[in-house]
Amino acid sequence: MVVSGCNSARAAEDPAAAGDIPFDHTIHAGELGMECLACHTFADKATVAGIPSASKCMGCHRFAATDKAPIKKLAALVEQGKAPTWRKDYALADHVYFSHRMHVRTGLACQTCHGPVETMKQVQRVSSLEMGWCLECHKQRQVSVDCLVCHK
Amino acid sequence: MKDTNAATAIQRDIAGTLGKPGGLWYLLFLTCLGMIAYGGYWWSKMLTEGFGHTGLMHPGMWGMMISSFVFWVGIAHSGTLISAILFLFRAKFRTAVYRSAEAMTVFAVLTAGLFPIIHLGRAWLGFWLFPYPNQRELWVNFRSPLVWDVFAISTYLTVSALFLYTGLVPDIAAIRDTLKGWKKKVYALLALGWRGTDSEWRRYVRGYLFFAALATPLVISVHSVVSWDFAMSITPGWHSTIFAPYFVAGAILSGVAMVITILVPLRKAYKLHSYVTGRHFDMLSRLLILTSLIVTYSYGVEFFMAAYGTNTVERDLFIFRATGDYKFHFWLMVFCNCVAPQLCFLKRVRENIAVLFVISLFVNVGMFLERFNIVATSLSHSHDPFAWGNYWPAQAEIALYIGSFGWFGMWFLLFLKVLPSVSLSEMKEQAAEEAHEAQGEIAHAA
Amino acid sequence: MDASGIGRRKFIGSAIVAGAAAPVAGCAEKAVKRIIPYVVPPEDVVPGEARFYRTVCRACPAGCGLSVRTREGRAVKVEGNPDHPVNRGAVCARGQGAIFDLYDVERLREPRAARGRASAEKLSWEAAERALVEGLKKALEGGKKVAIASRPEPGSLGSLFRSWLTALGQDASQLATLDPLADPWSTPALAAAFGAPDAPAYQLGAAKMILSVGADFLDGWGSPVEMPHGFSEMRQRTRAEDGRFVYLGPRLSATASAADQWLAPAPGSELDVVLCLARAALAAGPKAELAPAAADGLRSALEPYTAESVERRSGISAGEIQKLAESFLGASPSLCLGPGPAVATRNGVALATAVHLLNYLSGNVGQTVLFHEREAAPAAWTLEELARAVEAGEVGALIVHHADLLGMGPLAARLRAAWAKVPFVAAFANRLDETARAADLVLADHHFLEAWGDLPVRPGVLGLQQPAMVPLHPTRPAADVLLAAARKLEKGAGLPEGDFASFIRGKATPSELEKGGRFSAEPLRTVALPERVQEALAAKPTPTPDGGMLSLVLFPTLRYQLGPGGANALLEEIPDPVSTICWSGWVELHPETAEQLSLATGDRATVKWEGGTIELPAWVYPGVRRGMAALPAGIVAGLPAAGTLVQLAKAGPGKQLARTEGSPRQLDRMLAREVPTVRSEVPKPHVPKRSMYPEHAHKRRWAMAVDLDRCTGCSACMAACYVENNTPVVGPTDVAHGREMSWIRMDRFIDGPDERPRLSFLPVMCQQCCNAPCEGVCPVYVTYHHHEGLNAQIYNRCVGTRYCENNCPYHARRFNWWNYPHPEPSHLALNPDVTVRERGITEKCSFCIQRIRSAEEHAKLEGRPVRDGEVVPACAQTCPTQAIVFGDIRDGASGVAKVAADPRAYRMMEQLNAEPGVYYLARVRPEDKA
Repeated sequence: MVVSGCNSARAAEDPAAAGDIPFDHTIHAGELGMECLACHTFADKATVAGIPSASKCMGCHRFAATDKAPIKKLAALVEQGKAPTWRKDYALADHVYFSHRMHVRTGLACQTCHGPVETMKQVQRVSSLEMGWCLECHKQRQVSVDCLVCHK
Repeated sequence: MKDTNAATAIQRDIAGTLGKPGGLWYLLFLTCLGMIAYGGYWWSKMLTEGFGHTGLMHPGMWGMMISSFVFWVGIAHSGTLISAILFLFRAKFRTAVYRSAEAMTVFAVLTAGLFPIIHLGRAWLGFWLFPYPNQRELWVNFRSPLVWDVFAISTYLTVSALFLYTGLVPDIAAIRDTLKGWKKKVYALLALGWRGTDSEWRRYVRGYLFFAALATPLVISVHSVVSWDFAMSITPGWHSTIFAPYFVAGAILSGVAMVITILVPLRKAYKLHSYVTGRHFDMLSRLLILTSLIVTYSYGVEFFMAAYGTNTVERDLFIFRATGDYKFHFWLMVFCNCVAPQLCFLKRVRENIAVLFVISLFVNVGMFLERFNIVATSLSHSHDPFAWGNYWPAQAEIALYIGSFGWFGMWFLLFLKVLPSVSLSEMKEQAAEEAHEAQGEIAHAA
Repeated sequence: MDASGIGRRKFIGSAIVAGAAAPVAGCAEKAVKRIIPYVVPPEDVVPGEARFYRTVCRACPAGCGLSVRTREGRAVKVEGNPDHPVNRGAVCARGQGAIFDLYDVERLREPRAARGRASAEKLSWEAAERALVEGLKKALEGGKKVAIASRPEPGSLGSLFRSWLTALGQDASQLATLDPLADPWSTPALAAAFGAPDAPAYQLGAAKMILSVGADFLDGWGSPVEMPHGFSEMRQRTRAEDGRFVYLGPRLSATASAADQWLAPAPGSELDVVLCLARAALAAGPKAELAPAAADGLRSALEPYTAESVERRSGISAGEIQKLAESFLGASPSLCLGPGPAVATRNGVALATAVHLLNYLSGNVGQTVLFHEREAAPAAWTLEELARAVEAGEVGALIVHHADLLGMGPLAARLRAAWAKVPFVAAFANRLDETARAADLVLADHHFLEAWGDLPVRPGVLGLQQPAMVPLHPTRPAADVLLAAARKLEKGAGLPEGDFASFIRGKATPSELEKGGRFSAEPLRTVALPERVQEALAAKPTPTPDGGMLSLVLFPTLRYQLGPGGANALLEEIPDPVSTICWSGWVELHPETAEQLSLATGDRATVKWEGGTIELPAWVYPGVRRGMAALPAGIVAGLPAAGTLVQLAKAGPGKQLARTEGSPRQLDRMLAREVPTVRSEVPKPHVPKRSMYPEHAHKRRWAMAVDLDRCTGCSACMAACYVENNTPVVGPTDVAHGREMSWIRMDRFIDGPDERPRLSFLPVMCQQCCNAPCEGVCPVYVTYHHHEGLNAQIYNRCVGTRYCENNCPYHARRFNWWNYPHPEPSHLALNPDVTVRERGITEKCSFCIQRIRSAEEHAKLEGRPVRDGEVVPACAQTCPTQAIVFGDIRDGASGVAKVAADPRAYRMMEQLNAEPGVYYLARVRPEDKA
């Protein structure tokens, strides 16, 4: 839906947050130095970057850190045939077309837009995602600012 | 001294209209509030649920709301004509009536300015029509007549308001001097410390002249810009170069009629018969004739061009206007705007205030019908016959129109109670001049 | 369960769902979006990319092949399978509407118990299966018959039904078929003419002359896609050489309007005309095998049908009939199609036999009339036999499979009367139609987009049906339910072991599933006329209308052809091409007839015939002959045949009829233009090129070309556009008020005098003008000129002044009057590539910018330019006659550039200097050589 609305950077109340698994990027991307694309595999192949599937998590966590509470929670979910759900911080409006692969293939570092995720215990949205923010970068890099490039 | 007596009389009579409102005022005021509530209710439905509540449809995407907009802008112009243009021409008969006319202008523009917002499908984003720097780096489309409207209307409102206020300052001071307590403080603030010194009067006259000169071209330009909402499109019946003078003439016609409509009951209610005399109405009705003739000529030119030119779409539209589904509205409009005012050629009619009042009502109706005729018929009978369709207003639009009268009325009624509706200072000045002239004559005669 | 196979289709609740389910609001209520990833991701699924599954359309029995576009595991768009010989990539409006049925709020989600209850109660599957077993058991133990009444299932499901009946100890012939497209005359006529009831396939593309005897094959008679496609091929091949199409019938349908000549004989006299032609064919020397004795018998039987005698009976001049005969017999091959419901009076069998005879004698069999080598159809009950068995109380359990026995078909009334005699009825259905509501058990079946199956259309053409998504609701496929019941009754002998899905999968290779079917050579067989075929030509006189009675004419429509319950919201909203009426049926009357009955368009009229009555709004139409009343076929069960006399009376004034037509006359405004030959040049107005602004520098200009000679007005393009672009369906009140939202509309003009009316169709969409009148007037820059030639519309910038809509001379723009609801689960039908617009926003055709963008992105990723034909907007893709071509007109080699260079090409309202990007090719209407 095209909603008229504020582009508030403040995340709205999220009723499901309580049951979320507290994924910590500082461990995975920070200490362990994992590549972003290792989990978010589609960032350079698709219009959406995607969140890793539960089976990808279990690939390691079948053996790693199995004593930790979050891992147990994850394992329990997968037992039931479910996947954990995640809060979408970088959600663009329905009227915006954003293609991850077209941005990633230009050599942009993920941190450019998402910030230093490897230092975030819990991911925060660091970019306003306002149109002006997109325009700034497009203008800097002399990429098209034609409306139809981004507006569906 | 005679002129002091005259001045006192003027002060007493006119300032006396301010103060505690009577039962009639309250009745009218409450009625206006009721009308506003009615219109407001329907607008809130449109805002929260959608424009489906209106009568708009394909192809009639503009209708009564735009007609109302143009109607109110037109009414506004006549006030400026009387107060500014006639000032520049030093027309003496303007003095008694120009204040109400100016006030009418400001309130009419305030009313007209509502409609471009009301008629927006997403009115809560209406501020996008104003050019302001924003993070999206988007400006408005300066080629669009609607943006010209934004500038024209806001300029007109600003200038008219300042013009009215400037002219009011001495009068506010005169009222201030008669009051006590908190009211005195309020008027004192508004009077800007006016003391009536020579230098202040000099500046006042220059300032007023400046505003009159500034407001005058606005009468032509603002309504021309509004007319270009239509003339800049390719819709048959709209795409015509005659629109600017046609609309300006129509604006004056509708404005003069509205002035008459307001003045007749006002004069009666406040017993201003010695100030607003038969001569004033005589002059106003001559203006009525003049502008009615110009408007009649414009209608004739439109039809002539449609018949004479090779554009069959245009020709078919004009035949539709006179003979199609809206023919009742068309012919009523012709009667009201072209025929009724011509009665003013008769001295008997010009001298009969009641008849003049009725004619002015006809013209008000006729001028509204003219805008409706232009908007609705052209859209309903455009290029592709398969897409033809007739627009008829729904309750929402009628409620909004009624509400606009309530809004206008509310402001005007408030004005009547707060500020003098006849110019104190100019009336006193005029009375003094006449007394001196009379003295001079006597002296000469003697 | 094959994880990868199911997984690929598994619907994941993605962010899109969470977002779509969020309420429309301002700041305050922005719902937080959640992402739900896979547990085990299916291989080679790229999020954000569409996956296509090939299947078969079951919206009507024609069996077109589909390629269903799915996003994140849900079907969002039905497209045609380009490899399927029936439709070759096109889809009709009904097929496009399948998405609406799939996500219909009213669709049955679970079993119900219905008969005798005020409202159908929900049941669990366990309870339903138990009830089914009980019902069958009682019937079997009581020595009664178990019968199945189904929609046409010529493939594996049909044979499964027969095996199931056999397994239950029943006769496999106890399977009756309710074919909504069937008529009572075709089968007997085929039997009379060629000795076997197998219907031929018609190859219109190969014909040089077509004569349609009331067969509205461009309005839905026959295969709704294959027929127009074939016709379009015929036009392409033969326009330059005077290929001819003549329509013989009482009503100016879209089909008749596409004809080069429309002949309207007196009702019932069509038989005389056809027999006169057959006589001429025989006299000219038959072009097919005919035994001398048979020829003699035929000759004497046809002797009375001279042109002069036929002139007297039909009202068509002898000269015209002779010209028709010459033209038909002179073209080789020719094709006579019909009869359609418009003319098939109670002499339908005779007329159909006559048509076959004419085709045979003209040598068309084997060229344009193709009989295929096929296995003998297994014995099966006719509906008549089913009705008799029911009336005799022989049927103990009736299984109904997607067949509205009580709502449509010729035996509805009889079955309704005898229904109580069947103790147990179980109906497999997707919605509660009349039959389902009268069934003891309503078993919620999968929608065809969720189901496995196959559909042989004719020998050599087998369409394979596979699910495009995992079932939305807890429905179960009919076959599995029956198999389970049989197994519970311990009568599983001879039945497949596993479920129906694995049964189908076992019969097809993966590459066949990928292709959408098994398509091979279509073997033909020869036929011969029997000895005394003339006996089948005997006719009863058709009653002539008098004394205020009118002669009935029936015609196929998108909305009602499949029965009164067949239309979903989309099909109701798509205006009928000829009448432009939406959301309602109607009865058509000639202006004089209407005047006699004091009926104006919109007034309610009662139509009474022996055995039935219906009240409908009237539509006054000069395309119907005087003394006739035309009704959509299938609008109510039990309509009598054409030619029956009906009584019409005014019932009263009606409320406003929902129509999209403003005024039907073009008034010489040169909108839908015509030329006399295919090589004629369309005279264009002189347009002085004047502009204050420099010309646009396009590096690519997207343009469209619409061939009006191929456009039949079928409005499949409208349906495709609705589904592709999330266009809301607004309902009858809003359509009546002129608020329909279609981005492409079908202008229909009726020109010419009432005596000889002419129809023309003109699809109008945003013309993407270079000097767009709309661009200059938008105050906030919602619409601007794109560097690739498009007129862009940026929805979220729109404040809704509607100036653009006023200034568009083509009236192509639409305004959102409300926030149109998308109640769950219909919100799943929304195409995620297109914004859903809220109230107050103006929208319009975008040339499917989402497809353009996607193609350009893919081309960029692959480091190559966009190829011609790579971008196909939804309307162009679905058009059965390929009337719409799209591409880059600056590329001289592109299809659209070539079409736009045709001498017949013109643009609408060119004198306005708007420089539109849509070219139209004028319709070819040969001058009447009267």
